[in-house]
Amino acid sequence: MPRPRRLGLHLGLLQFGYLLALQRGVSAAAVTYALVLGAWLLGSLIGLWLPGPQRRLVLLGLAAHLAAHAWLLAHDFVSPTWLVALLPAIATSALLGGGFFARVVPTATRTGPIFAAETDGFLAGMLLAVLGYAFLGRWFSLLAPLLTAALLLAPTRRSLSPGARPA
Amino acid sequence: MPLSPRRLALVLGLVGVGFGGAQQLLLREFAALLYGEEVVLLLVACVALAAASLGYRLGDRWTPRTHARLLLLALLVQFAWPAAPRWSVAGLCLLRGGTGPELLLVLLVFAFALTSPFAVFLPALLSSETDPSRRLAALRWGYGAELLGFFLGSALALLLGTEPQMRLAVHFTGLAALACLVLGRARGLACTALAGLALALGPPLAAAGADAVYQHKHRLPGARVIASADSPYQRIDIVDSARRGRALYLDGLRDLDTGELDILNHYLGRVPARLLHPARAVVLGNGTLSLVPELAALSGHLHSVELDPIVVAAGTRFFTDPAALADLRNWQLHLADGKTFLAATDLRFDLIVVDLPSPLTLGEAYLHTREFYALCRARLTPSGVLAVQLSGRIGAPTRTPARLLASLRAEFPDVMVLDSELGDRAFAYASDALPFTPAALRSMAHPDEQSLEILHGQTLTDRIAEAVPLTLDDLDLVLRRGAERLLDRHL
Repeated sequence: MPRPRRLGLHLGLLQFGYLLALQRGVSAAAVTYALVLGAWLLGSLIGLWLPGPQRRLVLLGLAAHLAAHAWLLAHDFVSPTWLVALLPAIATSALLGGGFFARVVPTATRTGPIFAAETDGFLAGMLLAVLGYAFLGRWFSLLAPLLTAALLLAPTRRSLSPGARPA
Repeated sequence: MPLSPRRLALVLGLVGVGFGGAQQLLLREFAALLYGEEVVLLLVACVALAAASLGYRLGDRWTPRTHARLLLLALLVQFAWPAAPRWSVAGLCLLRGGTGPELLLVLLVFAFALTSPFAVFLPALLSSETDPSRRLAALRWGYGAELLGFFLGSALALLLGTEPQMRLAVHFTGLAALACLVLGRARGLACTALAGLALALGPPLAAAGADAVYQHKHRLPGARVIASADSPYQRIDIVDSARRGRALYLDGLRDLDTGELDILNHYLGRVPARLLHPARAVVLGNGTLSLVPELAALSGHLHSVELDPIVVAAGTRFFTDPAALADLRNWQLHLADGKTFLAATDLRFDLIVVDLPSPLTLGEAYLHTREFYALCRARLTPSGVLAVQLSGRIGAPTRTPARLLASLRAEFPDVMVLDSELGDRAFAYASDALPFTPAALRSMAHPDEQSLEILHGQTLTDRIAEAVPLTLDDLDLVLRRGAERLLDRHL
């Protein structure tokens, strides 16, 4: 699987994981959707200025996700004020998307396939997030991004070949 | 030919506004046409993303000339929104005499035509810049502007949901501005003229085709949509027809009509309130507020909690006399999510009435889970009662009513069920120890009731023996039911 698709899968799981968790645990009000979307887009925007090592952004985003979801897993329903406290975690998880594009787009021969593959992966991640949560519950939302993060951090065939730059 | 950074940001900012707006228009329109179950919402989101992916893939393949031609074609589809998909659906239903798979295909074409053109711009503009550092700058400013525009476009579409004509005007204006920037003055002006014509040629463009959908897809001869608005949660249609009288539709699904409203209110609110005379009661849902005047008269203090202010506005305009609400001194309305309200309140209630739609979306299903019923129990006084409508008559253990009952039984020691033929649904009353008997409940039957079954104790346990409770970690019912209904209707 090419890297942008894996990245999209990971980001789809993260974004929809946050959305489902907050609408379930905090509030299904429209403001929840708007704040999650806003925080996610802000994180992606900031990420455009962070084209450094992806490994750090993957781990940072994953840590934010685990902290937020583990806390929500321990509380069925909480007060809406907690939403504000959880927004930085969402923005942190979204940094990776912007950072990735800033790293690969400038030198790509064609940019369209990169955006398309990332979108395809995001679509799969969104589907997986909803199906996984509905059929397997909150533990799925907590743990599935660990697997996709491992996929992102795993060395690709190209990076394993002699003389290749580390990802 | 690369654009200057300012022009690039402006073009992609407008693309983002159009993209965000178009996605919201698509979601609401298709949810109303295909019915707003979670499966449908998911399907629409998938189609929008697939359309974006196609646009990205083709963006830097096309010549600017091809791009311009296709953009013009796509704008024509946009300017025919929402009449074109509505008339197509109504026409196909009329031809077939019902719904079929062709409906999904036609809507798929509309979805691609509506959203994929926006995704073409980003790769086309970035790939035209060959110097890596300049391309990085273009990405930062251009893609950043598109993300901001997307947020703005989505927010505008959501905020203007109650003014559908204004929303279309804003969307068309943004598209016309984009056309002027991208296609040059002559074609841009032609697009502006087209957008103006589309708006001016109403009868209100936003309402065009709505009656036809109810007449031919819902099979309500002579149906007329007398009011329609989009809230951030759903499309709210008030429909008058000879067959159903006045009915409230949420995302195309009939929520209630005037005929069944009285029966629903009777068993859900009137009966428990007459048996209990609660000092403090709360109604979750019941956006029409039709329960409020009577329940307030039977309670010391009444709270109503409804998430959607547009449903409340529609309720007071079409279903409940505002004068009956104006003089109530013991009633308080809270615009909030039911679970959030209960989680945050210190109040304890003698009666909690849950008047919510069937769990066809995850948002609705959370309020039918075992954990939610546990929260309700924690907010009841020791002899307090929770009243729930079960969205159907008790049937197979895998169906919604049995699963909701299993959730209630898992949390409450004492549950009684009233299965009404007249209401075509069952109602449950749950408590630590119900302060009324089955005979007392039976004596409160609706005057028009033909056949009433009361289930309690072992009889009830036996009827739902194999039903699995709905919990926050087991919401498969939402997707299973949604998929069944979607397939039944279209395949």
